Amino acid sequence: MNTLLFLLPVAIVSGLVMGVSQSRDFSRGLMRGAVNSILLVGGMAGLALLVALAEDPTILR
Amino acid sequence: MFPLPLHCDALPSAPMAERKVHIWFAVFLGWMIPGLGHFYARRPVHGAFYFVMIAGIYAAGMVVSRGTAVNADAHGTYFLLQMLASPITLSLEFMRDRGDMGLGDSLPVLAHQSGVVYAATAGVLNMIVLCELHRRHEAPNAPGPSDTMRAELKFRPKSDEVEPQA
Repeated sequence: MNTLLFLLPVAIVSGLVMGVSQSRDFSRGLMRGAVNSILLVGGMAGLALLVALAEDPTILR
Repeated sequence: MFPLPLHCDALPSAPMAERKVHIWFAVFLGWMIPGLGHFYARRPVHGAFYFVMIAGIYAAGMVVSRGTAVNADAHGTYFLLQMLASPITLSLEFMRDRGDMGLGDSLPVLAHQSGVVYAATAGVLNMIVLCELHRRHEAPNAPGPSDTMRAELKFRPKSDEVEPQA
């Protein structure tokens, strides 16, 4: 969980910068960057959940 | 009365390729300080955005790791990636404390690792931004990879607007 929190700012900034740099229009790039960030953070959270489940399969009960 | 100018080269919305911009000098400036190349290329909004994001994440990495993020001896590959963010990395490498970092004692291992990753990510992002600067200079109006086909269809002229060829 700590790792996820530490890497959260990197995921958000990376998503935003990649979205803006890969788009012709700045505002549209910002929108796509926000989507990138959400996908990155969601993916990281999903991975963290998988790791937690692998360590202790009873956490969801 | 004088008519108002309909087109002005000083406006930031004008295509970058129409101006005298030495693109490799702009790339060099962007490597020195993230976003500076975009300012030179008269794209101040992009420049400010990239500076805040990339320099911010680099500085955050240094703060989180308490200045131990740059270490060419312990993290050679990460150091090369951090060099992409700015040559300031090189001066930080020369100025760093060569003694024990106190990993696990005074400095948590996760904080050190996170700082290293922050600064390295800043370098990779700066590389992406420099590539975008060069690409946008070569083709100012070309759609980027994030501009989907659907968006392109939206901007494409309708078939009845296209003039028939003689």
